[in-house]
Amino acid sequence: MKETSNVQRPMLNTEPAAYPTLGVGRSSNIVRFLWRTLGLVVAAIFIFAGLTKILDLDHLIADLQQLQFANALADLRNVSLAKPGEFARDIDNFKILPWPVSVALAFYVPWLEIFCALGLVFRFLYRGALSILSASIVVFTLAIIAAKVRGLDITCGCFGHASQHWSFPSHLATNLTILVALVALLFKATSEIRRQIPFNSR
Amino acid sequence: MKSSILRQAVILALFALLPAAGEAIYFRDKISWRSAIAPSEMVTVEQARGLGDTVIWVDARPDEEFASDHVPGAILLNEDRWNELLPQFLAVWSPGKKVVVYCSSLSCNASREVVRRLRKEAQLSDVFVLEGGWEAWLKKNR
Amino acid sequence: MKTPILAFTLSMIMCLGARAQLKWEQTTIELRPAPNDKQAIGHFKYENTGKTPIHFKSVHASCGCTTAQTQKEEVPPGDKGEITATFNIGDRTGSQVKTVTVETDEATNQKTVLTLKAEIPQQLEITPNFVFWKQGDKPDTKTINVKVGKDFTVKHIKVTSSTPDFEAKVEEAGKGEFKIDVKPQDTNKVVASMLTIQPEDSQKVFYATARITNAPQVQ
Repeated sequence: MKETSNVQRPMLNTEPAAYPTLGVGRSSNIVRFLWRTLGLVVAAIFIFAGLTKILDLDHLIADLQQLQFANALADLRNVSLAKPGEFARDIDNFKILPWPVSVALAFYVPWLEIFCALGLVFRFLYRGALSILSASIVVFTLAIIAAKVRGLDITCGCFGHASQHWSFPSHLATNLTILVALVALLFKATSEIRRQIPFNSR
Repeated sequence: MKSSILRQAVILALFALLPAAGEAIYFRDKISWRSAIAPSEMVTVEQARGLGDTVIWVDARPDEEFASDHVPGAILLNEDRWNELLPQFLAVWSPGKKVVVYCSSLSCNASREVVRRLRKEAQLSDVFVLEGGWEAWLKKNR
Repeated sequence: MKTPILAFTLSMIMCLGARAQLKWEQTTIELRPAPNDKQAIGHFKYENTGKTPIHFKSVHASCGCTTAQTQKEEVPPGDKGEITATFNIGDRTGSQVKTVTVETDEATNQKTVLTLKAEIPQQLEITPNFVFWKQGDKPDTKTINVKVGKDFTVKHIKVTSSTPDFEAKVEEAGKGEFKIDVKPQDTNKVVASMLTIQPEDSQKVFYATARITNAPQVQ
């Protein structure tokens, strides 16, 4: 990666050790911890979203919602691949894209979500992952709004069939919250690069 | 810096292509890329009409709905009286016929269940669900 | 730096924790009806934990085979009640999932889906339940496989054909499985027969169909 231009910039020394007071160091640790947690939470959401489209998790989710953990464990053992075409049909229901494109996206998007989420977890291709996830949430949100405006009755498919009974406001609110989190993480990562904080492993 | 974000995104996008392609290949027989109508599942009203005289229409709705109105020539076959109605349907079926099953609308499940049972229990092929059901047929025919 | 994080966390909690007034004891009920039951009934209990009365705007089932009834249209605060979902089994078999969608006038979460799952026990699983020969085909023997359901024990089955045009012989394959070999006398005429399959010591009868069909027209 071509970061050589940064070498010419003055290095801002923000190492906790540079600060005399312990309090400030601890608070910036807490801040870093919270950012990291936020990143992991967002990653978990996208891993879940991706998995619900690749695997058939309807039974598992229903049991977890009922707090029936014994049944949930049994479901976990019997997990199978989702029927192909279910997510493709969900995409097709938006009536925005031609069918072959819906099929291609149905196969591709879940894996993209999972890989990007893993990038967040392991801080690998981090900013690229954040930007892809941000872009995809924007697209999903616009699609939901478009469908609502056109009066289409759709299953978003965002979280597999688990989200099929969400109301429009909850869908929108959830997506926007995730988007804000992603954008914040992206800005944070970008500003870290600029300031050359050693913890950034790009 | 912008190009490095782009490069990262491209690398991730390419990585994700691999399992996606694998899945697409694994399911190549279970999904049709050409049209939303999977070859083994659904037909639209137009497609059903295009099948001409080889079609047997099957109504999967409850008895009262069938009695009130149905596709001309359709045979009633619902799960409420499956054991009684199936032999009557089988008496009319012959190899080469295409069976199109409908229930009330896009969202009802009865036709899918009837198609599943005809394929599994009677081991018939060429059995399809009418997309949009009775609602869709009415739109095109009345 | 800290305030935006706090704002996120709060908004996430608020969005994901959108609280509903109407609390359901269960939204999924699993039933195991007995073999001769005609209906499976689920009682979905609810309670209005809010401070305003809730009205049911609509209660409708996913199929014509399921009916749902509310005891009352309006639920005062603190009141409890139930929605009774009655699933008419008919001739359905295996795992059945029926839903009832309830719409209320609550501020958030107006739609709730109640799910009724029923496992319909099947004494005999007959595959295929239809065997046919085209007119002019060789009158070969075709086999119908009969499998006994896992909650049942059947030692013997009896098979009779409604017409003498077909012969049916039972073979015990062991481990709760039987084979019925069906052979037509000839395939010259278009004929059909109902094969009656009865497990020993059981009143219930099952059916399969054997037919000689028209040869398909050349397309």
